[in-house]
Amino acid sequence: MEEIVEDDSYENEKIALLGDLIAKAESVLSPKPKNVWHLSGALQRILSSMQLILNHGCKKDSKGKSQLWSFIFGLRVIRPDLWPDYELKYCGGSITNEQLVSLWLQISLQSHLLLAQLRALFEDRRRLSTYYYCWSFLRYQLYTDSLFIILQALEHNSQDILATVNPSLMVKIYSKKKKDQISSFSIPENILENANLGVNSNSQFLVPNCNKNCSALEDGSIWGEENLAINSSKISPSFLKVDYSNSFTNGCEKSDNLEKEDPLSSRTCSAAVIKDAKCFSMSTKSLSDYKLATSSQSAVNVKRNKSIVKLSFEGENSSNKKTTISKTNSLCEDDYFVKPSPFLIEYLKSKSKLKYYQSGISSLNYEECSSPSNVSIEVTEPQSLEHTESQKVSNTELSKRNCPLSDAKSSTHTSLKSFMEDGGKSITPEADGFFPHPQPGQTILDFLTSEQFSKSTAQLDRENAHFSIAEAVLAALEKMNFENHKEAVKSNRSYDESEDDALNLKKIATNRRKLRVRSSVAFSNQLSDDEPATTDHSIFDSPEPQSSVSSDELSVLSEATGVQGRELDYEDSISTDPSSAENVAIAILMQYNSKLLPKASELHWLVSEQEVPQKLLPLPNSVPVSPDDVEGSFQTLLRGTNDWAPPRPQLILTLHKNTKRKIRLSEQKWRCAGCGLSVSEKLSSYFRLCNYLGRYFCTSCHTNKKAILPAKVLHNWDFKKYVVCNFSFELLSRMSCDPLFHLGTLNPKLYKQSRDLHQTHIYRLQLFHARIYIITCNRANKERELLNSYPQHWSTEPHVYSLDDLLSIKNGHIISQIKNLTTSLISHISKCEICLGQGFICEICREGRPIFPFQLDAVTQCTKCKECFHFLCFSPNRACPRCQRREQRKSAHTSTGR
Amino acid sequence: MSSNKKLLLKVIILGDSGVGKTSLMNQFVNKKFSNQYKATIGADFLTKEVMVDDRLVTMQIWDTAGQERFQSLGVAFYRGADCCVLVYDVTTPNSFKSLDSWRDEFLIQASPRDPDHFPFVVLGNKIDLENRSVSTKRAQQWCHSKNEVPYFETSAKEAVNVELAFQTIARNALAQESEADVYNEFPDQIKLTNDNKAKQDSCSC
Repeated sequence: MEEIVEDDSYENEKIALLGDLIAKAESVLSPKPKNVWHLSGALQRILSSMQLILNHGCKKDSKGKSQLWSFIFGLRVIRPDLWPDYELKYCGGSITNEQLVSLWLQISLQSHLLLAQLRALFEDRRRLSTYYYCWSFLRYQLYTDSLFIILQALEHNSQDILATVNPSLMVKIYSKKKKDQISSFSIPENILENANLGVNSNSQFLVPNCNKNCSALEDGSIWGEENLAINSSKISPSFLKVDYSNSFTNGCEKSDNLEKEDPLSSRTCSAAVIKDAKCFSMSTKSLSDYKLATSSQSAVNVKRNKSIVKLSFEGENSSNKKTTISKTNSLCEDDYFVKPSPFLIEYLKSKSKLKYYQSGISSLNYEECSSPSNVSIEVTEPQSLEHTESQKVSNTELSKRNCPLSDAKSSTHTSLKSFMEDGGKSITPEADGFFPHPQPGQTILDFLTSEQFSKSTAQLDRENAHFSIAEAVLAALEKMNFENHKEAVKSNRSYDESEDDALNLKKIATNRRKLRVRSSVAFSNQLSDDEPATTDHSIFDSPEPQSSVSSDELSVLSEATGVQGRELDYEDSISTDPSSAENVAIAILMQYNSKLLPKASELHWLVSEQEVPQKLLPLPNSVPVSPDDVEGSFQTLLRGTNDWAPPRPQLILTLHKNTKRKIRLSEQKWRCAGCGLSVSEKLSSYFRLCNYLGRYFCTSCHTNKKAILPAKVLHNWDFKKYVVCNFSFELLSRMSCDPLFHLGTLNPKLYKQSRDLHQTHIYRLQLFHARIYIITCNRANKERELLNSYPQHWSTEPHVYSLDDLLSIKNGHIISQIKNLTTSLISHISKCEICLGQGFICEICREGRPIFPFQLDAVTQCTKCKECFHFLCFSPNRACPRCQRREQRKSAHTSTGR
Repeated sequence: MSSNKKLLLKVIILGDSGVGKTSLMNQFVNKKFSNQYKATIGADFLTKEVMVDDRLVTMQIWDTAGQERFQSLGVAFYRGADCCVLVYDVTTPNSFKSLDSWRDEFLIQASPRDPDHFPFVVLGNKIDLENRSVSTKRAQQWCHSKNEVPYFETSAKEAVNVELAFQTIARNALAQESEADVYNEFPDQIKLTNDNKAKQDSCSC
């Protein structure tokens, strides 16, 4: 028995790992498959969980590599009979240890050997202690016992075994989950704030310490006065005359080509490093290095008359102490405990409305466990749950977007795509205004299972569908009853009213029972042939003893069994989302003989044509269209309806001027721009203006969220937050880190409006010029890494900024970083023989010192050939001597034809 | 003459892209050759110590990029060069034709003291290949016209003439360097006498 460390700071991790494995095991076992590993994705889920557990606390060797494989490989000696034949699985070639571990795990799991293997491995406690730290998962008897139980359950395909896991651990897992989950959006804010949501980079339940909105808080709980301190110690910028036209963009295009063509990956700034950091958030970085910045200010004693980074030679080097810039790249472990901003809470609340999933844990009966249809926000890996990708919003994902350089653990999560990545397509609007219409003569079941229903992904549409489909089902049932009654009357059977009612009641009762059974069948996803038959028998075994069964009723019921064969078709659709309107309707209507059900087109659907005028796009006039293609299904539907269409994800840079309510609303045809809800003039005062789109929205589409508007920033350098609708809010949050704004084209005057911006611009220009030296120099590896750790557009496109960048400039953080970066690069260049060799010699004065393009105050460049000259030696009007020579050579070649 | 001083000879290798500059340098310094083509970006140098007439000298051989797209980088390293090696590919006539431009450009950028006598060496590389299209005679004629520039036909792959070529380069560079030393001593003296004269002139007021 291992000595158990009392004060276990790693307990949370272990609990998390165990909880995760249990959840996955449940998700695999609850559908009761015949073979556990036949379930799609099951193996992968368990595999990933097991890998995490095995890696937890595994000691690394002197080179920093995990020793897990050597630990496992020892089994070959201990128990050779249990060692699997994994060599057969891969065709040789180089394979990393991690891959070996994964392969071994896979085979062991599949052949149900893993339990025995692990038991054998852990028997030798001494060996275990040499490979694992004392706080690791595997060194605790308690946890390894639970692990064995879970593995046993998987091997025997039994949920009962799973239930025997130590209850005290289960309680811990649940209480932890509860803490991190926000299970209803009516929790008062003070409780959330006290929940101590902080960054714990080791914890799997990663919660962001500071999302982007944090730094933008007007009340500035963090930034406050300290911000001013940085401002005062800054060097006052001089307004150097720099040419703000696009002359430099030509240069940057060329340098881009340089990168693309260059096969030497070691020297290029590989995009791979920055790929994940596309949504690089300045604010989180700034938060962690804010302290460093203030301390490093004093360290950098660069003498400057002008506020550009100067190049110095021959020992007069600026005393650039190495600022600890590398630290800023990782999540600061100091655990900045920041209260979640009200925006985050609100945002999560609104997202929780959209969540609806079946908790796989419902099969375990614990007090804390909530009912199956629990609306909650998922914080763990959502692999076992069924979600539409676009609606997957969780703390982990927000954190991943904010802190892309954080743990690789979160890499399995799907992340929200930024605006540049997908053009905002993944933002689903509240409503599409779409409701399918049945084809004439289409049966109701066919209509409900048709593809048209799967098209609609907007939440509001799906909710509204419940209303209309429910009415339709009722109408169908009523119609069938009426038909039945008519038949009865026709054939002159002597039934009085009470018996009719009894009949109906009986039918409804049996149907309800069938439905309950069917639903549980559907939920368990079982498609074996035995099940429906047995349930049917169970119904017939215990008939209602109320009144005599009429032959009529029997015929109905017996014909209903004839549906059995076709059940399987519809069960497929039920299994996708059992709670959707159409699937519930199918489940109900399946009981009946399809011959009895009225046609879909005969029913009166609540959704009238006037409300939702679906239209097909008009056929093109000019292009001849074959008549076969004109059939309805091939044409594309109009987006939205006649009157209204959902908002498009656009980048809007206009300041809206005419936003008077009446005028706008009448332009919008008195409908909400977000969901198409129509409103009367009297009540239109409740509608809210979205300052981004310039339109009016109803209160469910617009919940008074505030955001920074790019138009305001670009025109007026105004960072105030304005109210926007939810759609705009989502869109803006996704585009905040995208480098979208080319200030040189959009508004060059902005440079003069803000000192900080001007200063930043100068540094960025220098950075742009210095970049190429660093990427071509063999000895500049550190500097290259440094460069790669910042967003690419900083150095490749000097005029382009993202909203985050601009905000950071306003807050004063970014400038010190850019200055540091530029300073390090230039200081390398001034000392490195190779970089100095790649400088220019001014052809006109022939002075011996090399000159560089980033010496903005002293050097000028020929726009064509990029050659550098002294400012005083060369005027752009004069032809550059090198260009002249090249011209001459070209003409000489062509004329002599050599 | 400083025969005991440790001398650094700066040698620049120029030529179109793909002619074999890096391979030649690699062959000479590391005795290695790789068929895989990797375009050089920017510039870099390697050093090697050689014996020239019982004298130990360090050769600093600068390898450059042949492609024009690196024009945003300068050529300050041309300055102070002791010898320049012009390389062309015997199977590519264009690379031979551009030797002129390389030579001219070098002389302009490096601005050596005596451009007419600055030591060049021409290497016709890749003679191991079958499809030769620049004849030895033609190359020799060109070299002859440029003030008797030494000419070697080499193969970096098979290490043909590489050692010999670099020996010659070293020797010529050394000759240049020592001459430069000699000339360097005079300017200061001349300056002083000029100043004295000027003073005397100004005093006759």
